[in-house]
Amino acid sequence: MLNVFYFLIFITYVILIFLINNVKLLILLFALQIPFLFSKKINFKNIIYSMYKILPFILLTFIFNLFFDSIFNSILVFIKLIFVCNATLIYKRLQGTLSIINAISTLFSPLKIVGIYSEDISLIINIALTFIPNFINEYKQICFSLKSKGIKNYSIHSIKLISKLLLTSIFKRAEQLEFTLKSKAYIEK
Amino acid sequence: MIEIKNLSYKYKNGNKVLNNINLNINKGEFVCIIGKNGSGKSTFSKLLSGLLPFKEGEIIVNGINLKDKKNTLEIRKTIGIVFQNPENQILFDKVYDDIAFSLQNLGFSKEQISNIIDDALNSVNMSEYKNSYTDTLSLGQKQRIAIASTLAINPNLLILDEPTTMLDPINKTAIYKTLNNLHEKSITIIYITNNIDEILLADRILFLENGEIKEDFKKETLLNHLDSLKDFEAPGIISLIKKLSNKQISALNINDLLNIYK
Repeated sequence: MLNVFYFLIFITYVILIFLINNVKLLILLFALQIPFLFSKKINFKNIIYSMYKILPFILLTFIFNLFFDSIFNSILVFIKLIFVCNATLIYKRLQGTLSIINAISTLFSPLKIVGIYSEDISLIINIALTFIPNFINEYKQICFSLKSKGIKNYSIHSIKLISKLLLTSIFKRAEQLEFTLKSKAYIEK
Repeated sequence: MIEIKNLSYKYKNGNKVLNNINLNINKGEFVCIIGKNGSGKSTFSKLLSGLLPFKEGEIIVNGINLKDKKNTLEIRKTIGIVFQNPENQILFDKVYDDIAFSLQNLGFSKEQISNIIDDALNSVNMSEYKNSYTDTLSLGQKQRIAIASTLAINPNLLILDEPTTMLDPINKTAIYKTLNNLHEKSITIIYITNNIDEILLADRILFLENGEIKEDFKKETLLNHLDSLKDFEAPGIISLIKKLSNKQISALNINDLLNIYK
């Protein structure tokens, strides 16, 4: 049950970051992260590494806000998103994926009544996240292979081929995943 | 330990992969199944591990009938399988979480899980990676984690489906050493390969062709069965054995040679 408690604290913390617009309070909230950064030995490089893939989306949000809101609010939203990403990194380092999955499963277990199995949902999310780097690698391999055959990048023909090969690979992975889950004693609800 | 009776399997498109296989494997045996691509090796491994449902024939492992769906949990406690590509077998971003997942599914407590993971990682010499992130590991290390994850459930039967295909020689050697250690602990091992040199790891060799077992012999009698394996490329030790036997050189005892290889 302790993991559920941590999960709720994390969610409350994230909601607070989004609700508070006072700069001093936001700095205070960020200050709460600092002891955890030290205790889990998370350095600046780790933070950047964990964020670089999501950074374009944060920048895009910042630009959108610039158009529709004030510069101050845009910067505030940008900082808030960075704080949330950092908090997520700390939470993940503190708890571990399996513990987070278990927390989500316990918290949403009443949904069983309506036929929704929270364990399955949290597991699917985790598997999807774990397999993203694999699919990116697969995509790169397909692109290299097409390039080596003289097919130009970003042509309609290449996009069609990439989609076809990537889909085939996804289906193969899905089949293998079924075997892996079974081999790890996972029993479908 | 394993009893296979009249096992046949065909895919939904009607393609028959395995044809009337009858086999007995004793406890603690290290069996190597060799066959070319498309001979039915991987399908056989999935059937043996209870991952693929089948209609024709019977497989009984440690008294458990794999056909009976009620035995699913028992089957998982008894049989462990390691696949060719470790990337497909690792589901979590942390080593600990990945190994703990199957144990949690089998109902172990947190304290038990932690102890079991320590033992499993120790048996593959990966203890220091307990809290590592899986994406920071090499392919060979990932394969050893996959083996540790399988060993964690303490299976009586360990099936490995071409586990070294994607590995470099150093990592292959590490896997061989791990398997030798497990064999010494009397775990029944079924090793599937298309690399002829790897058959020397085992006590008993099965040659699978077109879904049928064409040869079933002990390693010591390998010289008498070299003809049936003639289609396999033999770059290493088997090639040496073949050449020695062709020239009828008997100065080197076959068992001595195999012991040197081991």
